[in-house]
Amino acid sequence: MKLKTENGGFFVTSAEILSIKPAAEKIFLMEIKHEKISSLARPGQFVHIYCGGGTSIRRPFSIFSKTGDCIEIIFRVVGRGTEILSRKRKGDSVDLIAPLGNGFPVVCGRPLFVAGGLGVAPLHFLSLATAAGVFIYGTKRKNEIIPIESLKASGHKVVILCEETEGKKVTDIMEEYLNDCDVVFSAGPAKMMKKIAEICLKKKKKCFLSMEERMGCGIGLCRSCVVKTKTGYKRVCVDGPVFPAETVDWKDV
Amino acid sequence: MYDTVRFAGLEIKNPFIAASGCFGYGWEFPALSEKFGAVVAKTITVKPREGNSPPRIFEVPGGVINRVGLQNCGLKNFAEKHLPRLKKIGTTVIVSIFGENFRQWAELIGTLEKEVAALELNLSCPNLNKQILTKNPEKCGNIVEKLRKLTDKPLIAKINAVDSPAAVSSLLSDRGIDAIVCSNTIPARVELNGRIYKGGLSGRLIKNFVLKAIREIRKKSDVPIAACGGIRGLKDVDDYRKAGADVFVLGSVLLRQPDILPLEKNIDSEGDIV
Repeated sequence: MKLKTENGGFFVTSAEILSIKPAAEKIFLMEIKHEKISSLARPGQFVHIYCGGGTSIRRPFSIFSKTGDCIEIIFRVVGRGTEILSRKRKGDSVDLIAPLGNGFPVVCGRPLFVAGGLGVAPLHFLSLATAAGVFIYGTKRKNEIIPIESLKASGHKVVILCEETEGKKVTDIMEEYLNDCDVVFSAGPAKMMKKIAEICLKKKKKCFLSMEERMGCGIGLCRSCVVKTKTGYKRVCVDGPVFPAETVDWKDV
Repeated sequence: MYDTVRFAGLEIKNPFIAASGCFGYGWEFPALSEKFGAVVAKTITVKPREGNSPPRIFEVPGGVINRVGLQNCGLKNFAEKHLPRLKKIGTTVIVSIFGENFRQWAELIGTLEKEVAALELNLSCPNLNKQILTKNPEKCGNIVEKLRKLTDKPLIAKINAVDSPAAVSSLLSDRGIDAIVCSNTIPARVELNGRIYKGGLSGRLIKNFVLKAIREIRKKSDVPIAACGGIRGLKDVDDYRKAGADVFVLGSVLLRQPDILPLEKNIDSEGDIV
């Protein structure tokens, strides 16, 4: 069924898996066919999947891209739910609520994307729809890097960084690119985003972050997935996942 | 497709109720809310509460542990912004309330009673940094006795399945409560990254405890009972009906399947304890 919201609504439905393939160590790329979800989906939004196998709550995954009547997600196998999901095959169906969340705002100017780990997913989707900029993507280990070279075709300079082999993190090099950009978009581990928010606030750069928190319903009802902001706890699922950096209260992170 | 039922002096259009805490303020998705016989808005307190710091939710095999901590916008905001929207939905409106003392309970009842069909007294929230009220039945009884005098609207007590549910229910029934909801989430602890968190356990894991509690309550008392604990299909409803329950409250299953009504056979029943 479709449910209405102020930002276009979402579907509670099942959809067909068009493909599932490994993208890196324990990381999978899954293509899901649903024309209406795909047409609504905006960068920064996520899908909330019921993985089955006796799990009790859904798992949220950022949308990696959309093409025609499909959306793509990436996920890492970290527990029971994602383990079950990774065993799905082409032609199987997946139970999902999507698209959810507020997504990134449309900002004019030259963007700088800073992705850590699976934070690459929402930024990859976003970068397909913006002006040309710089895309910095860091992972801990080399075998965790998923291929995003295709972004060069959209005119972005792509910088891939692996902490294990290069001994540097994305936050060590982002300032080199900061002066040439008008806005920063980031997604990844909380500590990384905290650092990025600090850098951007100091340099007075506009910055938007896709936040993560353990999630329940995904549609704003249970108030499980909150982040602390300057105006109190906000729900990642409906008030976010994207927040302007200056609104987040980082004291507890 | 369902029959109208009488519960706690109310006539509700079907025996399924959306549990407090799992369904926001009840009006957010009218297309979902209107399917329920009644909707219980999340617990309202006199002053706004910001709730606990995250993490607030944990999945455990067969269930969910939450420690939201009664985050809510406070009585004034709720009455002005949320209640009017909730009342526009074609379903029976129940609001869960919690007071820290008699004055607060009285203020909540005074402000809300004319606007709602019934009030649910949250006597068993496990996520407050104080003793759960139902652990002290006599204190609960005294609160209910005093609150009973403040309103003619049905008062429903939310208790849990582990703190002497039968004794608490018959005591509260004697003091004027109109119905019992059993169970709230059950106090539990969970470990994450080496830290222990206290929360409330819900989901199919607690069904057998709640069934047992309801059988015991029914043995001792005729008080109307709303069963709440791991319901996710008609098999569970049937089990609770046999145990003595009158209506059926859907809680954490709504996090997974907000559109679960109309109920069908149990989802994921394989391997269940029966």
